[in-house]
Amino acid sequence: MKIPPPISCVLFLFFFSYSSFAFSKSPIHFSSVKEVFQNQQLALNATVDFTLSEAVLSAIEHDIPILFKTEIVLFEKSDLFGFPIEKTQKKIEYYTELYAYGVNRYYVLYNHRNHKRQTFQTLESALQTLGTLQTLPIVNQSVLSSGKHYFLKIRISLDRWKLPPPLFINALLNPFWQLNSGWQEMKIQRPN
Amino acid sequence: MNSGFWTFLKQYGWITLISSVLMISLVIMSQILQNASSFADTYSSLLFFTLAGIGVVLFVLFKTLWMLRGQYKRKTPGVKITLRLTLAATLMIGVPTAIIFYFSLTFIQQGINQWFDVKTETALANASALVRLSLDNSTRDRLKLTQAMVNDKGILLASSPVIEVNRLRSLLDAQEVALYHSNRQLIAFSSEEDMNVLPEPPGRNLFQQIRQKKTYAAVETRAGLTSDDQFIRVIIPFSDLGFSGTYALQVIFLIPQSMTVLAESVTAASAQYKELSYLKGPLITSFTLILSMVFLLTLVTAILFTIQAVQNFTKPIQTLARGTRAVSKGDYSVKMPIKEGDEFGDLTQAFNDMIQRISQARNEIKLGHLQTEVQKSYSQAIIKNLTSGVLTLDMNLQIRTSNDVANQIFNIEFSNYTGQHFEHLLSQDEHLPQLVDFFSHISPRLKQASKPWSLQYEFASQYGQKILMIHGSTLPSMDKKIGGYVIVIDDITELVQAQLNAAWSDVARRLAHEIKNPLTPIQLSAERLKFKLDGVLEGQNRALLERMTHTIIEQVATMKNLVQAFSDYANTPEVLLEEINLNQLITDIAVMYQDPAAKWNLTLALMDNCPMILADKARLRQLFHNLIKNSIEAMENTILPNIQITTYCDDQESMIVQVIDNGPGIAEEAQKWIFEPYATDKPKGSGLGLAIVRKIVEEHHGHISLNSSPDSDTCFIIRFPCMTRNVNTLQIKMDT
Repeated sequence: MKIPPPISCVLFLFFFSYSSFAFSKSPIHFSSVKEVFQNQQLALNATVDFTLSEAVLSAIEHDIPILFKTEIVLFEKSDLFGFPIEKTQKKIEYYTELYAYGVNRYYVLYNHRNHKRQTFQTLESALQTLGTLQTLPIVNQSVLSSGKHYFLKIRISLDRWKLPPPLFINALLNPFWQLNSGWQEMKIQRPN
Repeated sequence: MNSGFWTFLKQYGWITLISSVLMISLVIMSQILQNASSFADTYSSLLFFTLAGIGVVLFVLFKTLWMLRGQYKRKTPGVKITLRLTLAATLMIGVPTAIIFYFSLTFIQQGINQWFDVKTETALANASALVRLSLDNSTRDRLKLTQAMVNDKGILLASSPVIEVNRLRSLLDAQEVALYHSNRQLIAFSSEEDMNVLPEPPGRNLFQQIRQKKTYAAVETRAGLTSDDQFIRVIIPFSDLGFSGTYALQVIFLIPQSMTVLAESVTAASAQYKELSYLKGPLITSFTLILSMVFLLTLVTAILFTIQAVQNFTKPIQTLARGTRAVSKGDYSVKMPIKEGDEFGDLTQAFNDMIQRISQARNEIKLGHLQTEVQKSYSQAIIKNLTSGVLTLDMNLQIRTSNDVANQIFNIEFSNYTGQHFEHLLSQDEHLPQLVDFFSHISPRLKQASKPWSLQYEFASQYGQKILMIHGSTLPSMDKKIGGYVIVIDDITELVQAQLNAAWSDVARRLAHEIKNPLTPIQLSAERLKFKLDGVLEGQNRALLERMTHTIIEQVATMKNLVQAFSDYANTPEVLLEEINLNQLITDIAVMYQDPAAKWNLTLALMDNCPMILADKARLRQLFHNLIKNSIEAMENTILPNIQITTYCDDQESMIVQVIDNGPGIAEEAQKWIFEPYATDKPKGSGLGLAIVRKIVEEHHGHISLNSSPDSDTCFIIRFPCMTRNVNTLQIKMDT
């Protein structure tokens, strides 16, 4: 089937913009991820750098609330007749809302998991706090059996489905709204 | 509920249901876009559901159009009018809808754009700036005041913090005063609210700032009972006299509720305006999308409804077309179902009635035709089995029909010339000279006679002269005029011949009777005269007597022979049929004439395996003797006279014998009477030899003909019927 020239041009631009965005540096990437065992708990320390696109920054400046979804999965990897099997041990998923507020343009982070709200004078400081996971408890150490291989993966992404409805189509089609760190995976070394 | 409702539901229900659901979904999406945040989470689901639904509706439309295309290719009845009406309805609905769509789109774009103007935006920005400025001033004032208090009371705060924080709170009119060590340890605090609740400490970043001896003053928000409370947090770092430690004095000033509410309203208005301003483009896109989907859904639904409605409309036409096609193929038993009681129902009923009547008429015509065919077959059978020949001509004198007897009489297959004018027929076939004279005789009567006419006509056929009695009459036609002619031909040759034979036999019998009686006394008288006077007379007288009596006796003997011949001709003895081998009979007779001393030569050419015939052997002997004698007499002056007798079968029904001599031939005129009694050109002939031959042939139901001309060979051809497989049949034939 022959595609008419105008449609093929639009498709080309769409895929070109997507692919060029995909090959550039990820707007959300982990600068450090490390597991820690503290008080018989497996915890996570991580630092995430956010490089928000102009579209997202503009939306925040225009009082559009942005929701970031953080997913942490602890899973066990095993092998059955040569086929790799992943068994999820623990899954943590929470949303953090970032929005500008007030006449003084404070930036507020609202954690939907613990309902904590933090106010920041600058967006950078808000993003820095958003991207800092310090000793986040994952699971009790006793859950981890010795001799088994455990892995931890984490991903932070902008939840486009929670954007205001009018923005939904734009966010769906525009690659600058595709903010996703991708899965960052690491092997858990259980202390003896 | 009546069946009409169920029919409507069956035909239009699914498309109505889908369209209604999709339309509701689009309305909800539109409401969500306008400001129904409670359903905001469902927007994406509704969007995909609606897109999928429209996809389904479009698929149904394409499927329907494809089906119509197939029907158009198959030339299904009613499809052209369906397509035409659908196109017309699509244009009638589509064009106004598209115009409405265009204007709606324009209004949406203009409406959304008009929501935002520079003045409102500036006013809201200025209001925000004013609120911010006011709060900044208040914050700055509080900071300065607190700083002055710390400078004045810093030493006392370090030495007696509990007392001083209370005093400071009163002096500063603050909501809460708290003293912290730089290590985040709370030293003392005073609050105008519940003292049992510890104050909220500054964040780690603020303590970091404190350790760097930096002051902090900012408006912050915390969750209140009914709404968020705004307050001014001021933190002043200071040291005691001994510089034994760094302290931080945190003072919380509550911003008055009235001011907070006003600031909140300004903030909310500004935030909403900003949000809407930002979402202007996406809103236009979303509304355009929804409007496009509404337009598409409306158009597609309307087209589908139209197609269904037109198909319902044309269904009776299809039914009628199907019936007409069946009728055109000859199926008159078709009966179209009548589903509706409208005009189409009446039309279908009328069609059914019409087909029923046509069917009845057709059956009647068929029956009539069948009857005509039967009648025709019946007539043809009668005509075929008539002993008379029947020939019919149309009004243009073209041959229409003939029967076998007519063909047999004229020895021509008239059916090969059906539809041809008989004059044209004569000019075409040079082998039909005998018909020329026939048609020339009847033509004038055909042309002028309107009444039945009769004519006796002598016809020279291949097998001899025939006497025909021809009856003619006209055939009726639809317009009461002459529709054609029928000619009935009776071959009365045998009848006439029989009459002649009877007459001649009577004559012969009388002659025999009258002549035979005086012959014997004459002969006896002559012999007695000779006996009495033989001794009396002498010399010349005696010789004269001798000569005279001899002449009398000789002539009497001749006359006796003649009388015997007459008697033989007149007396017809019973024919005693038996199965004979004709070749054997001919061979036996020929032996008597094959004398080496004779002047003539007789040869035989007989066919092997000659079929047997039923005949009277004695009569046939007489026949062949007469013919051979006739030939010998005819060849009296011929040098090397030769007679040849041949036998052969030209078919399984006839056995043919030819007696050929190389005499002087027979004149054409003489051929007409050669077989008649007492007809002879010989001085001593009785004129009965060939007449007896023909009589014997006819007694055997055979046929004799002559093929001769002057100065050429003379050939008598005798045709005897062969013995058929069914001897009884032949016997019956012979008897008849």
